Amino acid sequence: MRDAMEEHMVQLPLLDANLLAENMKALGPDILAALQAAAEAFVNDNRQDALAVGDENAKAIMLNVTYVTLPIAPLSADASVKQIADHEAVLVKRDQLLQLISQAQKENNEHQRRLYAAAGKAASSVVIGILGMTLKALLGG
Amino acid sequence: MSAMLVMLLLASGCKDVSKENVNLFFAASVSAKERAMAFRTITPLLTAKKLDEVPDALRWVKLHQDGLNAQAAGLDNLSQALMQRRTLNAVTVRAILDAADTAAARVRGMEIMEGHLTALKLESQEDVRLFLESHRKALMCQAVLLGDIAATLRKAQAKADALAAKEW
Repeated sequence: MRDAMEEHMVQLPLLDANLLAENMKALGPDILAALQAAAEAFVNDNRQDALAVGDENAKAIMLNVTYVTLPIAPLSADASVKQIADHEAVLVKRDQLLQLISQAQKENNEHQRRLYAAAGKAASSVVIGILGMTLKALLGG
Repeated sequence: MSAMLVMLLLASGCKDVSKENVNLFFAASVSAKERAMAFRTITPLLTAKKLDEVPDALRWVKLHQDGLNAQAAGLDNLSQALMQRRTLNAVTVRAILDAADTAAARVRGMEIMEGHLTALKLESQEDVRLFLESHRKALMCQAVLLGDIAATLRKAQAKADALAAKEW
């Protein structure tokens, strides 16, 4: 599978999402399955923590994961403006992936925080209840 | 290498982040925002006249801005996430390691682009030259900071792996 990946790497278009989707079809079942598994793992990883990742986000993540699985092509010192712009386009995709994943992480952590706060409130009301009962007993109420 | 990355992406579970690292994320988030803003303010100078003759340079200016915006938004999300709870999912850790590589690659692109843009002799040439130089240096600082964060995360990961191996 690794060989298959490396063989296809250089053929991926850098900019057009539709072209990329078409090329993804041509990537072959092994790589597509691996990419899909990566996207699903992301969704499941977050679902475990009660975070809903919408279909659209999952699709976007899957598409962007493709760019991250590509090594960043090194730029030579005499690279043309076009080459630098193409290079920058890949970097944008990679940062957009960071943005999508970190957004999910933020929502995840906010949700967890709320859960913990609610659990803490419930626990403290139990403690206050027990304290109250103990006081009552001590005072002979 | 890519197969390994996919495998890493498949790994799940949460990682705790130290208080010191939360501060690093905050610093990275602030400096990324500052970079995105600074580049936006210089764009009118970069795109005035001349650059129209080099469509790829115009395309680069837009892409560079988009990338800086996405990076700033991503780091802001992370900083906010960690203020809520100091944990990161494995997929997020992986994305941060990749973001550090992205930042390093952006410095490289900037280094070469700086020469092209300076050679174009744009309007307010001296202002543009000074900005590009400071921008490149600031991007380098940003890449170093993200590299430090990545190194800390890798170290924590290696420690957790070693511990898990011991327990097995």
